Amino acid sequence: MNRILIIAYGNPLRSDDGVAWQAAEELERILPDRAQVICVHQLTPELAEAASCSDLVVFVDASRDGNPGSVLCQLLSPESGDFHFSHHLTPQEILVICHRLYSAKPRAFLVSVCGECFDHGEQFTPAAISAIPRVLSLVRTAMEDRFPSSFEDAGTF
Amino acid sequence: MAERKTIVIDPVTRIEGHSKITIHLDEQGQVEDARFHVTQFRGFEKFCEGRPFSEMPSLMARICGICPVSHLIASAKACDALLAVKIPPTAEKLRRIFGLAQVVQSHALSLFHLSSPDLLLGMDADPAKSNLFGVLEKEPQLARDGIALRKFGQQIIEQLGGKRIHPAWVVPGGVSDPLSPENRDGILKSIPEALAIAVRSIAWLKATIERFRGEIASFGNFPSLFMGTIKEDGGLTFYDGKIRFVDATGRVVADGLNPGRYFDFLGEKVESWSYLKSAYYKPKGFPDGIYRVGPLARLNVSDRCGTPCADQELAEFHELQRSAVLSSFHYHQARLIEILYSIERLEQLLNDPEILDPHVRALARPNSLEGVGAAEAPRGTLFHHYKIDEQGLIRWCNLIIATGQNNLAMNRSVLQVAQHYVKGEKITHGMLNRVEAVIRAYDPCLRCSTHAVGQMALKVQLLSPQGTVLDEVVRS
Repeated sequence: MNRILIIAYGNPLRSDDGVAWQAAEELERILPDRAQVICVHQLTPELAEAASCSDLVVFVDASRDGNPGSVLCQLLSPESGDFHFSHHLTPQEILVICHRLYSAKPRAFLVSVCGECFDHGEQFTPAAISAIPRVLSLVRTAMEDRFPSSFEDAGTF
Repeated sequence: MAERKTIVIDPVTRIEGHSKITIHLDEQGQVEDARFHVTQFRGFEKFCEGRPFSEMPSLMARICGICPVSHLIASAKACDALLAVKIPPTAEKLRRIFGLAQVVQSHALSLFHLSSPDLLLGMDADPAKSNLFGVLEKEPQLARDGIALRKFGQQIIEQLGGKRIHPAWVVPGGVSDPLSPENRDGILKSIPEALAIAVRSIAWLKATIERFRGEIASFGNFPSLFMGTIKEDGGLTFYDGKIRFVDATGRVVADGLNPGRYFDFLGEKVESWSYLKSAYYKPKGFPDGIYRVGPLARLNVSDRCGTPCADQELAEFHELQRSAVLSSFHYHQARLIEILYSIERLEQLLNDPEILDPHVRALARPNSLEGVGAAEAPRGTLFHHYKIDEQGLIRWCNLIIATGQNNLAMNRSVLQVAQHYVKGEKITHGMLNRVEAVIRAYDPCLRCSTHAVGQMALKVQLLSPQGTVLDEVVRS
């Protein structure tokens, strides 16, 4: 796995919604130079071009679904579907653009941290903080191409 | 007896922020009025009170994720006025570069990502296809070009400001860091491709709009004033200059106005049905003082661009109508010409021998208790006006934003399009899309005046005066 792109997205002024940015900060510190880490508020079409230059893309975000502090990992593919765009996209839509415009199909995962509080604020809840080590672990696992056999945190493969 | 009816488009899609449109029908089913309502509340002018003035650029940048740079620049200029300093020449040039990069990425978003589905697929296209994905199916190169131009502008912002969104690099007194030779060379290297995209995009648009004669004739095609900032020689500028108004004939109505005295010539009116204030040209009163700002207005008030390719396009643009160019449909072409200008001007500025000068900030304490900063944002002229106390805390703040200045024109445009296309009681997607498309032509940025949450679904209802739903169209 040579070229790795981590896309962390969320709003760091909305408490746990910004937990992906916090995880990205850790990832930037521990990942090798061949990994590029991008933090954005929302997914926009330009990211498809960056994804097209990568072998592995890991999207990291915060979610309201599930138990606070749980981490969900999902394998993504650029399947066709009913897509819309106004100002932001889903990870799958990024992959569709990546495929259709740049003929690239990087291996891709979505790692979602279930947050507890999405109110205005820059502090994370203990639940969100506790999930960060598992995010790092999942990203490392993805980089080592060990999915899905060693995957433990439940995902929708 | 026939009933009066109201069609409600709520919310309007593919624009920045949340709004709705109501179309009022008379007893004969003819459109008699239409309104563009901004349904979000804005609180920035109030909650910044009590904050140190030096925080204002960073606070104000949070108004918008699309055009934070414009707010940074206008806010920093207002703070410069509070400091009463002249910022270093290189800092001024770097701010210009920052602002031009913003124009490129913001205009590219509006044209390529939001409006190109209408232009490429037609106004009557299937709503399920009328989006970026429809564009990349039909014309992938156009989609790639849009992405490339957005990336070009965003990368410059990131290289200068340290991040794409909400960079805090523009500060009172200048900028926080000088430009590095590596970043200058990197940007210069990307200019030829960006320029080539701009040139072929203009050629594409000019060929395309031939198919939209009906829309050109009815999309905000009415007499109004136009306002913009120009250089002393009448040239296009985004950073500073004097304010000029021209009327529908192209005649200069007012010239050399000091943007720092905006309150002498601009008034604002609050309507009960919208959170967005309506600005007007004071000497003509409300609502006769209706004026437009943004790309169409800037090109109408400018005698020249000052860069070779953009000047050629401007000359051709001015030939579209013998008077000022009145149709708001031409905002699209004006946007592309401004992209072209911005790229050319970026190259000029980056090749300036002083551009790497490390002296980029003037330091001072407040020397004035009141300051106004103005700049041309992608969507039009932006004013930030602050008053502080002796401790440097904000005591009063007023923001006049492009979308508010276009509010009267957007309302009139919606009415014109509705009168032209809305017939009878049955709602069609093509009809609705045209009503929305005229708003998109202005590229309103509602987040600039409000705070938004939620999804942009579209729900249109045709209601009787008693509130009975006569027809309904829903897009998710």
